[in-house]
Amino acid sequence: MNVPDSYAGWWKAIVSVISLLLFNQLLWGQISITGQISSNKGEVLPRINVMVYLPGNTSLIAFAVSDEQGKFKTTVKAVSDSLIIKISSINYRNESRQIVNVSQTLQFKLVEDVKQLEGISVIALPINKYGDTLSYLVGAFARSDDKDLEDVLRRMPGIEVEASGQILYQGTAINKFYVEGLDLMEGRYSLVTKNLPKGSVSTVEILENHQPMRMLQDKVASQQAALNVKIKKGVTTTGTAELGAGLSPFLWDVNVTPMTFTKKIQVVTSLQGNNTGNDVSQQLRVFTYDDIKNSGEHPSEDVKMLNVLAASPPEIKTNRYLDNNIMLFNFNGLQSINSQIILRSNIYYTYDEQQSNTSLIRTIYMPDDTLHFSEKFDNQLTTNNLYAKFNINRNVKKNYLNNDLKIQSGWDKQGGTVYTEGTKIVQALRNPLRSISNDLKSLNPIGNQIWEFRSYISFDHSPHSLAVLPGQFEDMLNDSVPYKLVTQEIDLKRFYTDNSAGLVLGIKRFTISPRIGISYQQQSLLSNINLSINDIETEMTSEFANNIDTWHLQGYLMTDVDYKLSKLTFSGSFALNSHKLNITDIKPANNQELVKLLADYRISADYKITDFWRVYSSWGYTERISDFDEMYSGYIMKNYRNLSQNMVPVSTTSTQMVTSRIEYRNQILSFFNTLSYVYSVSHSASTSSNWINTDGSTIVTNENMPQTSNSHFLQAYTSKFFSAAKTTLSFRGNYVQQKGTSVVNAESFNTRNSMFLLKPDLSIHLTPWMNVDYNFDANTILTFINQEKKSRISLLKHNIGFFFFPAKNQLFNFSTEYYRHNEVNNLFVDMMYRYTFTKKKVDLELKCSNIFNSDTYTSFLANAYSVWETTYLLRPFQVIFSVKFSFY
Amino acid sequence: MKNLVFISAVFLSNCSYAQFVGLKYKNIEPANIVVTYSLQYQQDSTDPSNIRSSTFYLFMGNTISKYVNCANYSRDTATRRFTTNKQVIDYMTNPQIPKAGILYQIFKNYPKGKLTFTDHIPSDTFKFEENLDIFHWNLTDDTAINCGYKTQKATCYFGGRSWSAWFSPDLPYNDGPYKFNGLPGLIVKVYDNRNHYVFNLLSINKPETGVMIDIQDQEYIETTKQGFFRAEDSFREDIVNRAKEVSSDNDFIQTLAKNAAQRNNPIELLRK
Repeated sequence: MNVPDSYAGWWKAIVSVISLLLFNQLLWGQISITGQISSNKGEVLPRINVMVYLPGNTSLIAFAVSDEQGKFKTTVKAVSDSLIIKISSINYRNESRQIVNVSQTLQFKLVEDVKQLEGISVIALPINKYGDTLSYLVGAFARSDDKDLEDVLRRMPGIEVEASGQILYQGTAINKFYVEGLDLMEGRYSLVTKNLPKGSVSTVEILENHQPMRMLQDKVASQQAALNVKIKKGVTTTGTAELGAGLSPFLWDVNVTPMTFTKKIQVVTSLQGNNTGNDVSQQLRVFTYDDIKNSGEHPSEDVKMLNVLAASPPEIKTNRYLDNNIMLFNFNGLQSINSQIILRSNIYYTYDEQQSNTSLIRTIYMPDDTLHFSEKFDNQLTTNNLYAKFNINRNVKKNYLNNDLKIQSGWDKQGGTVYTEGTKIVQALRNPLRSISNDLKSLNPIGNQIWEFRSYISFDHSPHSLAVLPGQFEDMLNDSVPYKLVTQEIDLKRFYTDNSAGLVLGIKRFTISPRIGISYQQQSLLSNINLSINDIETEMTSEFANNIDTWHLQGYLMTDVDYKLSKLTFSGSFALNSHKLNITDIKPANNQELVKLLADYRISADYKITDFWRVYSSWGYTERISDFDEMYSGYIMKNYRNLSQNMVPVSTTSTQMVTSRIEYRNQILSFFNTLSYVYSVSHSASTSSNWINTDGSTIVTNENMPQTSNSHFLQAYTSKFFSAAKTTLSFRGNYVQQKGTSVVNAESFNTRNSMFLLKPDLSIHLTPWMNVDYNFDANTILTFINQEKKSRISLLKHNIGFFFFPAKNQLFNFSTEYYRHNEVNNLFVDMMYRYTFTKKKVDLELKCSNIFNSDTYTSFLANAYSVWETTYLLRPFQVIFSVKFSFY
Repeated sequence: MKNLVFISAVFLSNCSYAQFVGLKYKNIEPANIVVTYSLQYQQDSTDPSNIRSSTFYLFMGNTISKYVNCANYSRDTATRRFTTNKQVIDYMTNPQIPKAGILYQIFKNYPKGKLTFTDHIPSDTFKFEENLDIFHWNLTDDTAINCGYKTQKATCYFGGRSWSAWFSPDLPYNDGPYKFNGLPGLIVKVYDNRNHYVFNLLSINKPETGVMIDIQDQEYIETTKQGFFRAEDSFREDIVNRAKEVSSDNDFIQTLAKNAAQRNNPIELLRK
């Protein structure tokens, strides 16, 4: 049986041996060429190209590249008597040798000869280039299905548009977006690109290496380009619109944004309104790093001395609880005076009516007593605000100047009814606001350095009044006789200015950035309390009135120093503040003067131990003088149950803070761990003393009693991704402890609050298009008074989130939260489905929120000796369907 | 507010930005020539309409070459001027600054006979070495004029894809885009047989004098190609949890997840 097979095998073997012998010798079979390349100086040359051709043919048949020893090896199988070997490289003269087509070893000695390869642009770009400006003709790139400028930009070579609307040129985002050379939107340009029809644009220009500040043009190179849009002819009015409606009650949501461009004047306007709980006024605020950095140092324009008592907002999203009715009008305009100066204005007006229903249970712990108070709030807030900002920008070679003038006017009103212990108390607050501020920034070259100068001036006036019916604090105000109405009036006028100069110096491994400045604040506070008894107005005595003038002068010098070694970075900052404070009270006994020199320090070190381990540690010390806004010798009724006074001399508070953190982060194992700890301790010379009446009203005074408070914060976090199961397990644990001293009803005692949070989380990525997340947070809050445990609150909340993208233009989102409190189940379910018609750029969205119609949400807060349990009334089950589209 | 600024400044300076200040670079050798390549790629294998493009520089010196994304290169040159964290924060928090994009860099024949690959996966920078001669090119008879050069086609199998490369023996280099190398002439065009990754030569220029081929002298996490792929894949698959560390905004996280799900078509499909 096997005979024929083995016979065939033998036969095959014999044939192949014979053919190998024959063909190798006679029919130019496979040969191998080896060799070595060196320079004529004798050094071996690596990475030189060796090419094998047939004579008279330009197509390569074999090749090699020389190795580190200059050696090469290639095999050739060609039907030819001879072969051509070419040696080619950029730094040596080419060599060519004709050889016989047999296996052999070759030696090459190359002569140095640097070839001049002319710079050549291989593809001429279909655009014109003039110096640093490229211009694209829109007509050449637009296709019939393109609608707006953004669609056309996407087709232009070198330009990319991100999903967010951000424009990139050669992969780098543009730094300015101009229309007719003018920058109206200051970065928020996608409103324009998404809505400007392609037909109205003639050309798009790219200004390469664009430095928007002309004075920096030769000093600081820019790698970024700017984009300039040229409009075809005359005026173009375009816009976008979003309309939504739902139940129940009737819900509406409108957003209409038309705009107009001419060559001198450009305008974008927007009208928005809703009653769906979306606080659109938040969108008007632009928070750049610069804004946040500066606003911290200036007094807030919004004075909140008096208030209608309300619960603090819960940590859930506003659209779950906010009952609003908002209208907003926004105007952005620009006018160019000449090529150097432009004027911009931004004016907006908001009108908002908000309604909130909350209930609050306050528990106050004292060493021998525990007080409970319960209140129900039914509040209405009317916001009526006009804001105007005028900007002038001068941009020339010699300097850069930017000036913002802001004018704000508000006519806010708040009304509230509180039900407590069977009584009904009505409050009405008028808190209008007038403020004007001017912020000037200028860059000027002095010597070799560029100095930055800033000057800020503001003036505001807040005449507020709070009326409470029936009258409160009758023990102090009306010889314990109940009365009809109490009115608190305050009138606060403030002037503030801050002027500084700074620069940045770099010296080897050190960088130093000093700034020197001076600030001045002057304010006057008038206040009085009026009683209305049997419809007769009576003004209270001077004990319940204030007439105080304050001025505060502060000179400061601060500097940041950084020092960097390879694995270790040190940084430090140091500030010297010289204070002079003067308080003139109408009651001369309360006049005060303070002259103080205070210092702040901070040092930190960051050390990377290995690839995955890292430690960070810092220490800081700050000294502050007490807030003189809170210094008043006469009583002020801040809200219906708080009557405050502060006569303690101005003093300083010092705070020390230590931070340390250790991290292990290993991406290869997807294993992340962090442990951090913050300790802070502060000493101050005075302590606030609270006298709590049986009805819950509180009289706050300050006592000349030093106090020390401290806090510990410990956080651990670990997370591990299991790639086989596409699952992430993580765990977070927090521990916070705060300790201090409180004075309540003339008794001084120690307080301690401890808070624990444990939060395990399981997240499963079923497919790249689907994600399921489950976690729970277990919260425990403990309150100790003089080391004795007074209260313990625990709450466990479960959260399930689920989202997936069934197709690229669809999104489905489902989230649920469950907790049980006081035997009541609370279940919240929200659902959202979005469908996008990609071509027509129309979005349809269906949102169902609070599907199980849960009506309340409860949260807890603990502070020193009190615990607040707040219950918020939520928006009911609602369905909203909305459409978003553009109009031309 | 003051506290917020302080805390955020501390946070920023320690977590992500400190690494940009006072960076040191190790000069390897002067760049003699700079080649620009374009890349068109389909980042989502299920969506042929989702084509992204990018451009790269290939700096070639006497012995080594550096391959780097153009946007990354210009961002790199901008941040090098900075001396303080503040300048970096101002630069980075400017909403108009580009997002990172493609951050990998490839250094060929560095060290000798190997290539060095570096890339950043937030918030670590990885580095691994690989042999240069991983390409087993098969020469074909096809010739054509590409970008004005006489070119010949060679094919190979690499990273789970079949590649075709057109190279020009008239351009006496043996380099190309990405890791591609070892052909006796500069690669003018290279693409895989599904056209998911297409590299094209755009220009060949002399760089300004003094342009150096340099490598950032920083703390790399040294690993292997497999270790790097593992970190890269985990980052993509675990994006929802990584995003939670920096933001609690659900819409933001979902957008990231959606974008990550679309990045399912890496140039090297063989991950193990």
